[in-house]
Amino acid sequence: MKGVPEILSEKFGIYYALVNPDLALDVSDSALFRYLGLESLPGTLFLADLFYELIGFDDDVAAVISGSRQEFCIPTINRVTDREIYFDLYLYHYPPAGRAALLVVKDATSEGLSLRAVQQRRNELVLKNQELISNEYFIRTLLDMIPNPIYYKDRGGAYIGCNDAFAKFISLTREEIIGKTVHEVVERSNSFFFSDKDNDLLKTGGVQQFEAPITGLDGKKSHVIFSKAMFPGEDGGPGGIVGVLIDITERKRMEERLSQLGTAVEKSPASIVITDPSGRIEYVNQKFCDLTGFTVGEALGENPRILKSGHHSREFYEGLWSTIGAGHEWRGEILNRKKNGALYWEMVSISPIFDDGGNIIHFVAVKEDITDLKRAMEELVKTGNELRRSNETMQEDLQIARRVVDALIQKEMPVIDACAIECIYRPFNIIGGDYYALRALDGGLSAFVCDISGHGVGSALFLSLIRYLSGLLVAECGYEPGRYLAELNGHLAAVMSTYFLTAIYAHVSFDETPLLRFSNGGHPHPIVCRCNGDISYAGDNGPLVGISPYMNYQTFSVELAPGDRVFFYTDGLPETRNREGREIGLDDGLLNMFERARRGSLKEMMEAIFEEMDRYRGDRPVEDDLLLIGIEIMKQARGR
Amino acid sequence: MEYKWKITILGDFAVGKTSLVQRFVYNTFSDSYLTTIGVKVSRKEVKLGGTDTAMLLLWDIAGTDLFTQVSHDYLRGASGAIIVGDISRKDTLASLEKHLALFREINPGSGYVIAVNKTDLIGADAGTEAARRHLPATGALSTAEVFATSALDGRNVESMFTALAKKIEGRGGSEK
Repeated sequence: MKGVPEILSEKFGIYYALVNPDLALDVSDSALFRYLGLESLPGTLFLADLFYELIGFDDDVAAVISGSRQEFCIPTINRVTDREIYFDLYLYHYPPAGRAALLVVKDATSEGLSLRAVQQRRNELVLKNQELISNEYFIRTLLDMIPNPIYYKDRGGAYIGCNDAFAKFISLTREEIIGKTVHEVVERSNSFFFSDKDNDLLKTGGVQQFEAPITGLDGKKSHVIFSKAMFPGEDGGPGGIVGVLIDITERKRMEERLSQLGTAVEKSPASIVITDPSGRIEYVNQKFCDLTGFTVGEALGENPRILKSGHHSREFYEGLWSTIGAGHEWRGEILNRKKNGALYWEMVSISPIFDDGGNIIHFVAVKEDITDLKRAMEELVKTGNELRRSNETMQEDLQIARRVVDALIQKEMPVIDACAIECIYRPFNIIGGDYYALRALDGGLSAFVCDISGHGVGSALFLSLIRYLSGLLVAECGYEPGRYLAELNGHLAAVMSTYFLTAIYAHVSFDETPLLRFSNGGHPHPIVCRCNGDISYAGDNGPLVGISPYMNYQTFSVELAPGDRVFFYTDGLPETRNREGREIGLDDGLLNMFERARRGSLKEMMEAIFEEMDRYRGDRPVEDDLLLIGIEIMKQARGR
Repeated sequence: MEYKWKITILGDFAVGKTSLVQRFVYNTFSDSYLTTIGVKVSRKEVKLGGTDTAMLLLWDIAGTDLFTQVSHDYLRGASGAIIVGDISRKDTLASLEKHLALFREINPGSGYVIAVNKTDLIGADAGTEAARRHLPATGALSTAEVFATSALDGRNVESMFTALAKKIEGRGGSEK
């Protein structure tokens, strides 16, 4: 029959020992030793020898022994003996029979191992979960670091993830993309193409790669290379698709641009030659072939010296190669020879092309046939020389003509007692177009004023003719102004129909009543300034002189009084313009100017008129001859 | 003089507390993970200066997580502590402060060191400075002595336990 200790230990896993006040153990049941995997130890055995877990708990143990505390426990102590055990260690206050405490060891191996199994599983799951979170974070970070758009979708076609680049490419956020299908993230016009491609991949498995245009929901068009692969699901079937996009939109655009550039080069009206660094021809365009007669096949692999004409020196070519070899552009004209031997000039620009390392990898020559241009230039130079010579001759003629005209212009005014005569003449050009002649004629005054067209040598010659005729006619009909102009007109129209003039011929007699009689051939009207202050234009107009023969000219008469002043002038005065381009004009403008200048002597008044005119013109340059002739009737005949 | 000092090994679960004790006591390492339940007390004698020795009673206490806490009874009477974190798990390093605070609350004045374990994962030459860079630079941790340990290759394990023993001795560790 088993005793209490055997029943407790075998049935309940409870072992005990008594503790003396000096902490010595009284182990009456050897089952405790067996449980702890120990042999029975000889001699006195102390509490801490068997249960070193109690070291450090001296105060707790002392409290239980003294009875100030009834019990003390260390739960779930793990030891490895010949097997792994878990036990709870109890110490109870136990005073009977001179004892101090009852030590109880309660086996908890079964619960401990069970608890460890549960805890182990839970910890492993937590660790696994942390690892998964860490891995997902790593993969997410990795994906976001990849510049190419990447997505993954389930086998139903719904996006389950993507990187930042894909979200940016689609112009949606990651949250907006996840859960959607391709029909909801790209335009419907192309979404079915992509879903069909996905279905093909899910059926066949493996990898799919293709190039396709894609239009986003925002209308943005791109060109993309798709690389897709199917990944397996948990059931072993298709799990979904992972796709990587390479956006080649810019590359496509570049290819198109290069293609356009290639076409432009090929169709260029200039001949284009590309060589390697040694000068070996690698490319010629159609224009080169058309111009030189060499075919593409004949030119490729050759050196451009196949075009050498022998015109240029060796130094010329050495300079060219030295320039482009140093990485600079060379520009110049070269005389080359075609395949058929014909020579032609080219304007050539040769530029080096560098690689990323700065090394010359090609030379490009753009050449323009300037043979015709050179010929035209030669003609132009020749013509220019002739023109220059002709111009020099003309200048010499003009100088002669100027001297002639200078000689023809009257410098001294006739002296007539009955009147004062003043003249201011400012020729605009080397050869002035205005002419005047004032003569004393039997006590009276004959005055001829004209403005001829042109300022060249011809005008000078014409002026000589006018001078001759005007002098001749004074003797013949100096008293009859109308007839004077009619005769002058008849002579000029007969001999020189291409030249014409405006003219006034006047005769002033100084009898009892001084009388001005004049005829006007298209000339600005004389101005009469009365001594009483009145100022007005005199007479009327007549036809231009020399345009057509058989013209009649009316004679006008104006009675004058002492102090009255009569002015003849040419159109340079009324047509003087200010800086705004407005003319003085023949209406009130000219008369007002004369009115303002009326002062002092005849000469002072005329100088004042020119001052007024200069002031009106301002900094605008003089544009025509300026002629003003003044006659003042004297109050008392001088010298009479 | 022969001392007997209780030293608690604290830290989150699976940071390598048991492995550090195994490396120190038995100079062995097992890469299979076995969760500790309750407490497992191991013993090892270390030599101090002269003829002095100390029997270290190493209390390898079950690691904690959000749902389990260390029994305060396990910590009572400890002369020193090793607070262990896993360099590859930031959350275990963040918990060091909490474990240290608990230990210091129950055993004010006791010595302690910090073990940043599994440093073999970040390189063969990972040293103390590298380990310290992984720790929060605040509170008691900022002044604690830190050891970059690896139970796998044994680096700094022996020196850490010895350093802790000397620290306890320096604090006047009582003879037991």
